[in-house]
Amino acid sequence: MKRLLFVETLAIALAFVVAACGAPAAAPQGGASPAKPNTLTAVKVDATTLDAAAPYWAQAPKLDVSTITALPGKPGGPTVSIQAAYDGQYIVIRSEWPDATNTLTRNTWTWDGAKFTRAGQEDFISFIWPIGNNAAFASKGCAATCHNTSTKQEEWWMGSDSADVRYDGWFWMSARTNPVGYTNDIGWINLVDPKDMGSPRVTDAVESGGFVNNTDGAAENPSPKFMSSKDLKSLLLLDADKVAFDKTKLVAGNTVPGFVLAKAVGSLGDVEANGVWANGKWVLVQRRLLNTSHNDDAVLIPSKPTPFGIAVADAAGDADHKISQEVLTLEWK
Amino acid sequence: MAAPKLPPLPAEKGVWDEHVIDRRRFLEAALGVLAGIGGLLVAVPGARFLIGNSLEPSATKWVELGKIADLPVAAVTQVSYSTRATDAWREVNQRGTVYVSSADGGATFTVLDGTCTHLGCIVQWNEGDSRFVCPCHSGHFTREGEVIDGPPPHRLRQLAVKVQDGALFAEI
Amino acid sequence: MNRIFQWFDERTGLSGPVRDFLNYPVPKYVHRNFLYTLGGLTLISFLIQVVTGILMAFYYDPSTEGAYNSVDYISYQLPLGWLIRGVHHYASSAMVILVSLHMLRTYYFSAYKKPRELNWLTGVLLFFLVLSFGFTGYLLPWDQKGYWATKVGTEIAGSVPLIGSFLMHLMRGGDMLGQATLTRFYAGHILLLPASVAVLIVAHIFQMRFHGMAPAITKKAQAQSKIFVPFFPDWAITDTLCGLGLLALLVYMTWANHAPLEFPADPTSNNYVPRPEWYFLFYFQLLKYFPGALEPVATILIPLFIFGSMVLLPFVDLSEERRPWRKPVTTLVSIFYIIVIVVFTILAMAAYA
Repeated sequence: MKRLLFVETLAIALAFVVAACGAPAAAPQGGASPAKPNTLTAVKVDATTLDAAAPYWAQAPKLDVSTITALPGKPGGPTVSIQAAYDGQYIVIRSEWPDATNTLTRNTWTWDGAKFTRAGQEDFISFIWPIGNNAAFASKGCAATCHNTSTKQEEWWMGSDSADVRYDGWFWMSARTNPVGYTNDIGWINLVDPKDMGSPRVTDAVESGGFVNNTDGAAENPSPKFMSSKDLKSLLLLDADKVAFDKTKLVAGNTVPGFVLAKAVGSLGDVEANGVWANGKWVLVQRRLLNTSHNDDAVLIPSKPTPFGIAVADAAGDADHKISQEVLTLEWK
Repeated sequence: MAAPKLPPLPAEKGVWDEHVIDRRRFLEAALGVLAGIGGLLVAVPGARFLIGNSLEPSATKWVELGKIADLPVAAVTQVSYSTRATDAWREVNQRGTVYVSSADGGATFTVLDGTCTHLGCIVQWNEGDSRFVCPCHSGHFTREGEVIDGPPPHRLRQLAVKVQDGALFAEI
Repeated sequence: MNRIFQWFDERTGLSGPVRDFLNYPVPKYVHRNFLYTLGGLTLISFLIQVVTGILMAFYYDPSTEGAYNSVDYISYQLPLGWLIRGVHHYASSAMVILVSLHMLRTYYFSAYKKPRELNWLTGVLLFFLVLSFGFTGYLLPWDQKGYWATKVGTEIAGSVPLIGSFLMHLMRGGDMLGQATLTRFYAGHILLLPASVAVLIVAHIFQMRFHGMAPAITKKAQAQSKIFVPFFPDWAITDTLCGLGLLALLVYMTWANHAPLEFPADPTSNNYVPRPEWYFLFYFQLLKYFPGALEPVATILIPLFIFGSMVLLPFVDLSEERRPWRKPVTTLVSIFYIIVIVVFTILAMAAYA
């Protein structure tokens, strides 16, 4: 009996040692050690912030995502370095990518003394998360959302193939959302209106705020509806500063911002953002509740690997965006 | 317990080990303890797992019942709704029936859950008697949902309502 | 207490058989040897599978739309779901290891010889049923791993000459790997296999009790072979201790590494490399050495030969000799198989790494 107990104890102890040796080897690697390909490992921290220089970023593994063009015949895009951290409530993602200019214009009005013209595209970065489990996205990534089989480029569209499959999007924009500290929380659904290639892209529910097209809506010679009460030279027009547009205050060559900005409240404003352009690159920190409890958002569960994809654009329209080619996977440490 | 006894073994087979009797009590107790530990180790997590999320209250949500302009203000209207909901591991269209009425010609609305408070059948509106009738056990409720007679223990559940963008919403 | 006991005993007559069962004499040399706990441990791991399996059946949804979501729900949203599923996952490996070791012990102690041939045969059947458990359970989460492993596994069956197509269709429940396959594997995994295993285990234990332990092979053990301890509590406590140790190990392994759940099955994905569970790896390596027309050698001839030699073993090896060091043929054959399996497994692991 005694000997048996001894042998058993020895065997169990040995099994534990074997398991203990095996466990760390199989666990996701972090820090300086080489990471799994295309895998973003979120590190657990006490409290997440929007601070791009928070000390925990030194511990969070970096995932470098190279981007390719979504349109034929265009060059590829920048390499985006992504890191992620989470606490009991929030996930925070830090993205860094080269961009020669800080673009604050989007459909900006320019007054030539006689009439207005509108021009300008902004920088953006977009994250896409499938809502619920999505086999096609998990194995093909963004390509699963891409419907570009038509011979006519204007008939290409992005979205899902059925009403049961939905995507959550974090659409950060340098001119329309970043200045007021949020990321447009949007989504992609199926092609609701077969004539409207933009119909799969939907914005989340909003209670108040968000950006509003600054136009009087006139069919001919439209003009801005509002202007700033504070700074007529600014490229940004905050909702709090807006006053009715007064043409007499302009001289030829002046510009008026194309949108009136306010921080979105409601599901549209779920993602907080802090993007800073300096020295030829954007450094952006975005933070969202792991579970917003909004029906139009993806739920992120720590320990559950989640596939995602990204796209960036440098002062270009939505079509000319640069995308992550492979499936990216968010894992948790 | 009676003193442990072991029947003698046939002589040609062999004999019991000499220590069998004196350590039996101790081993029985030890076995009981170990088996108890093992049982608890399995039963407690197993029970927790079986209970699962079954005790969590389901989240309430606002459901659109229709445009105010389309709702009859004098009558009691049965409205069936369908809403996207998470049912355990599935996304489903959750469907249900409510009764909408207005006591003040359409200024405010009363929305009653059609589920009988007795045993959960769906009540019917009887316009002639101006009362809700439960088809299962003949419970009767007034237009406002109060119990008139029959087995139901309390009134029909009244849902919170709100009007937004010209549409009536109820919290289910 | 005593009166209640008597009341039941008068009506069931159970106290006699139960007492006989509990007082069953176990030879002392067996009681002193860890190798003799392997069978009991296999039984305990089967019981662990039954309990965790029944628990998961309360949530599992055997449909191609719902299977993955329900396993996801078990793993990430149910309290302790990760633990229940993890223990089930690791216990399946433990069961394969334990049943193999138990068979090797029986083999080296020549415990399959007359009059215990039937016990060996039920054991061989149980061994293959355990492997079938692994194969059918693999598909149930309907993730990439299970889907593609099953696809390849059923294709292997399909390559068998003459009856291959029939076998593959039988396994898949049709031409395609889909809902019919999942339902089949589910029914097999939770109804047919457990029931068959339970019946065979009862037969296996009954035969073991009937014949008693096989004669000892060492002089030291032989000297003790006429001294006995009762099954209860002396032997039962050993089994219980080992079982608790096994459970602790499984819980620890689950805690250290949750059971894997890959992304949901995508029949159109072209970059997924199917990979079987580790205990089938050697077999996949074997397949690599028989390409093209030779494939049936690996898919049917070799497995049939191994199964056949296992079945025939007690009828071929008729000698009275029980000491492995005096039986070079059987011992060397087994060592050859063990080396092949280990080497092939390592080669396959290296290929997938």
